[in-house]
Amino acid sequence: MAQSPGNRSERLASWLESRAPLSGVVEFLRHKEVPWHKGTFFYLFGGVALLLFCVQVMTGILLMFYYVPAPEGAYESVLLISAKVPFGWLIRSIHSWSANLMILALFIHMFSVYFMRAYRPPRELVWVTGFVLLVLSMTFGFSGYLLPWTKLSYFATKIGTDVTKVIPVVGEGMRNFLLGASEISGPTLTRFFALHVAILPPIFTIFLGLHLLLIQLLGMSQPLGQQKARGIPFIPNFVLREGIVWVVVLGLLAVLSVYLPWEVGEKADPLASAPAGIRPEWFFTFMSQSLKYIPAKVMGMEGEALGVYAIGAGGLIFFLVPFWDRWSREGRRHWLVTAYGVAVIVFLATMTSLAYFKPY
Amino acid sequence: MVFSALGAAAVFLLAAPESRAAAPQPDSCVQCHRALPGKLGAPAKMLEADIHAQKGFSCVNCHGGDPASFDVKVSMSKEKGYTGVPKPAEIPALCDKCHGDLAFMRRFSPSIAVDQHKAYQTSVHGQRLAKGDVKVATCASCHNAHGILPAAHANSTVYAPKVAGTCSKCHADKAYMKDYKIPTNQLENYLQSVHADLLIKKRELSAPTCNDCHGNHGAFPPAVSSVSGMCGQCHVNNRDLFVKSPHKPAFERMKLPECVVCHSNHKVVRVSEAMIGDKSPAVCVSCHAAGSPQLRVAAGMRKQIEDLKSLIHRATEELEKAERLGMEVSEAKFSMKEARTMLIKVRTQVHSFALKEVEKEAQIGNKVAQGALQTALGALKEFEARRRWVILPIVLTVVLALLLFLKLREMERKSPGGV
Repeated sequence: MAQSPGNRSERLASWLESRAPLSGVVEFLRHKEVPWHKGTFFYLFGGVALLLFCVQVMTGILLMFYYVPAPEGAYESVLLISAKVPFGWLIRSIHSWSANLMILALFIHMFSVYFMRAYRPPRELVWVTGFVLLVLSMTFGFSGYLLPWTKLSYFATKIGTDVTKVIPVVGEGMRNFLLGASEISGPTLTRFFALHVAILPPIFTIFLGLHLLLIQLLGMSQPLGQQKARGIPFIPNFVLREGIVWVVVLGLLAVLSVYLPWEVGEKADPLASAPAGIRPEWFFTFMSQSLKYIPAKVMGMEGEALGVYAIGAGGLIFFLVPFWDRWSREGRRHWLVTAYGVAVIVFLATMTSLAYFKPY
Repeated sequence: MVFSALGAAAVFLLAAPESRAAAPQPDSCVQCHRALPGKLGAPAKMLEADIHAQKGFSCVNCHGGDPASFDVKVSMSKEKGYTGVPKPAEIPALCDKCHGDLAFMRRFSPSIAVDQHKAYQTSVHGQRLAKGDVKVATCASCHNAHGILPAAHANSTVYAPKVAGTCSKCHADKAYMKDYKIPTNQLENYLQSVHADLLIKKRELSAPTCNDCHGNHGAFPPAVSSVSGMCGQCHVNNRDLFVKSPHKPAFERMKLPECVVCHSNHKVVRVSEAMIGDKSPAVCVSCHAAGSPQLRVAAGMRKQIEDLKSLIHRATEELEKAERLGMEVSEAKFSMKEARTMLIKVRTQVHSFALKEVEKEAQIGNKVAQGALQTALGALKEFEARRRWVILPIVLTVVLALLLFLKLREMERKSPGGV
């Protein structure tokens, strides 16, 4: 006697359940709800960053097939990828654009969480892991920038690594550890490559896993002052919305990669003088630009060191917001927290714009 | 007896240079003259920077006397060998005492020339001096009498970029040169030349100045037939092509000064295509008649250069355009260096005055530039193709996003709010 389709699928589910008991997870996702309010749209940017991270991993692996992590071959291998490898130009361009869009998505995600006070108890660790993920992503960007071994990336990295010198006690040692030599050279490129493809990815994956796990365990934050906002099912309503945004982002990525392909530039020449207009990647320009406005000496202290400490302190205050914003714990929105967030955005936006439109 | 004579000679030869070096301390000449004003004090004050003083020489080595004595009647007495200020006619021989002695000079500079005096004697300056003309240049006229610096020193009067200025101290002075009946506009012309632009403005020390063509110590106006040899010191290929060309025997017959006929002598301006062709301002028309076969060759050569130049220009523009659009054309850009080298070769080949040879070189350059141009055009075409193809994923994206949106709307209509 032939088995009915219902019987067959039930038997398959039972076979799977006995080997992978995930029915609890499926049941959890089936009943999971996402708060529905005017800020829900911003929740989608976390998913966008996740999508772009996956794009980074895939394109990065493809690029590794051809990339040579040595000063004698790095630039040439990037040229090879861009000119000779079929669709190499597209993969490289997607990798570069996706990296930048990912950082942008993370910034939007972080500020939306900040202004919605979604970090308040019990989600402090979600905020902490998220902030660490942003820092790790910026480190990905910093280490990846040097890899093509171009004139611009060489000198921008030199400036970036020189900044570590101002950190007391460990600064010089940290710089030497990063560089693997007294100046940026072969060992630096090898170290940056190792950092980019072997050290950062597992650390990032651990924090990403923690971040996602905590979100699932704690659920998404309710708007401030509301005990229980109206919710929408995670599956399929929220997933479909996320799907629409993902498709749009992928389309945008394709358009940017084709219409504004990433230039290779000139090969690095350590003996040449620094070219005019060198600047780090856009998400670091706020720092390099603000250091330009600080005098060499401020009250007997090195101006550059003072600038680095000030920016570091500002970042630390921002990072620790779940622990000092006692008002949101009481369900109140305090102007000081909002003002600090706005000040950080204005500072970042002003310095970044100045770096591009009025660098000197 | 013979051995004694040889021994004495050896002692003399070995001892003589020793006596020329290292002035004894204290040096009364320097100490007293340094305190004197004006012309009498200036030489002592200039001594410190002087290359001779740095090597241990002092006043006594040229002027004689006894620097150990502070009694002027002793130190500047004839008995002590004091000779005073040497007369212009005596200067070359005085300098040659040391500078003509290879064994002595080797101690300070192993590769230094010691034939300056001999060369000077063959120069117009040296020959006129021998005839009693004391207005002509001697060693001190160019190198200075005191405060003499090595020629490679940037403050030296004979440092390459300063040589033209040094020579023109006399040669551009109409009153001073009146008796010699030679032009005095050499400096004015030279300063307008490509050579001066390179040497004086751009500090390209391999560019020529007066002494590179006229000789320095053996300064002499070059003979008409030796001009190509002189210019050919640097412009080797141009010279080789010229001496095999039909112009060489023709110029010899007509006693024309070879390269100078087209390029001038002191006012050698930067060359351009305009110099060649069958119409003014091409230099060819100043000798060849309109419609002559020679002018047809000149026009043909001009066309070859201009065609290659314009092809290189177009290929460069298209490559830059492709590069700006993010296309990878570095190999083709690199090959343009070869095309530009070929353009230089074609311009050089003009000195053969053989159209076929010029065409042969131009063809190689054309091939390279054409290849680069095709690469650039190919890259631009590919860029356009990419832009067209990206429409497909955009359409797919829009359709997919729309479908998802419709699905969501339908779903939420059935169950308002999605809850």
